[in-house]
Amino acid sequence: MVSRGPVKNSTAYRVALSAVFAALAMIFSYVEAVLPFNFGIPGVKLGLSNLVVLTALYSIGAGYAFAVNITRIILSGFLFGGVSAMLYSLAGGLLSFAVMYLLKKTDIFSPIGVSTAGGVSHNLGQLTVAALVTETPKIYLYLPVLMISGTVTGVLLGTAGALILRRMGFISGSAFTDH
Amino acid sequence: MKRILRKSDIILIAVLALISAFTVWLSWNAGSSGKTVRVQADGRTYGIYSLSEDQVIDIDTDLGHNQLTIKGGKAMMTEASCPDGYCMRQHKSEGGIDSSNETIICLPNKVIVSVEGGGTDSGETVPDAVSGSPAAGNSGDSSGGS
Repeated sequence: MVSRGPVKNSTAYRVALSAVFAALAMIFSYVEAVLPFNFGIPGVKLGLSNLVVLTALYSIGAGYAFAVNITRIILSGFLFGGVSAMLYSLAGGLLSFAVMYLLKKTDIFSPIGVSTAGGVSHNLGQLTVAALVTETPKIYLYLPVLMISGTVTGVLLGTAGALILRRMGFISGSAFTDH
Repeated sequence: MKRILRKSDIILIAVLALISAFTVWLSWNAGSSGKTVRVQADGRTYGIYSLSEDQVIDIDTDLGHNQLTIKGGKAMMTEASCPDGYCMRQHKSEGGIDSSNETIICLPNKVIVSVEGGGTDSGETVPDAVSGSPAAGNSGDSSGGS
């Protein structure tokens, strides 16, 4: 008997998909390093690679998604950002991953809500590290900008992620309206 | 078929938007509370005082005594135990300091008074300041234009 298509809960499938996700996240990081989507505001990023992490979380499970997350942060840190930028990414990446994991577990929110909370917590994590490293609590004056941008990018990436996940068959539901 | 976007998502996004708006309001408020003077004595911050409020500040350290008077949005050294008294003459002709980064320095007593703010100072430092109403408003700023 030959099974057609991937066996979605097999280890091989997850490992292979992890590698694909990690590679995709690297490409997104590269694209954003070359063409920053910062809407003209310093410190704001679309964070396309977080789309990969969100998709990974829903498709291959938290453990593999965490590995993808760490891999992409470390690799893109060395390749594009530098070690200090990596520290900031790590703070944002770990906090947002924890928040997204917990919110997904409650099963109250769709990927859109999960991603929005992740986007905001990502920025909060980075800002906290920035305040600690530079020892300037004043840096929290930047909080409004990062709150808004985290919310907006979270909604955008969450919407894209939800559509991808639906296409991949990991979540069900019609696009955004009741039918 | 169930739709993807749930009601709880909308609530979450609305809450985050509200918090965002609140932080905008907070920082806007912190920015409009006007300029302050930072008094440093012997290398340490002695206190931060609002320029929008008339007050007399005594700066007493082991090195001596100074008195800073804030009046009409300007700060001036009005008393000093130092031998030369230069600090009392600094910016006297303008009636005091009120623009960002202007300073009065009393070297013998190691006292530095500098103007800060118009938005860059956040609320955390305010507890050092004296009494008064932090929301007292922007009136102090208007005198800065001269």
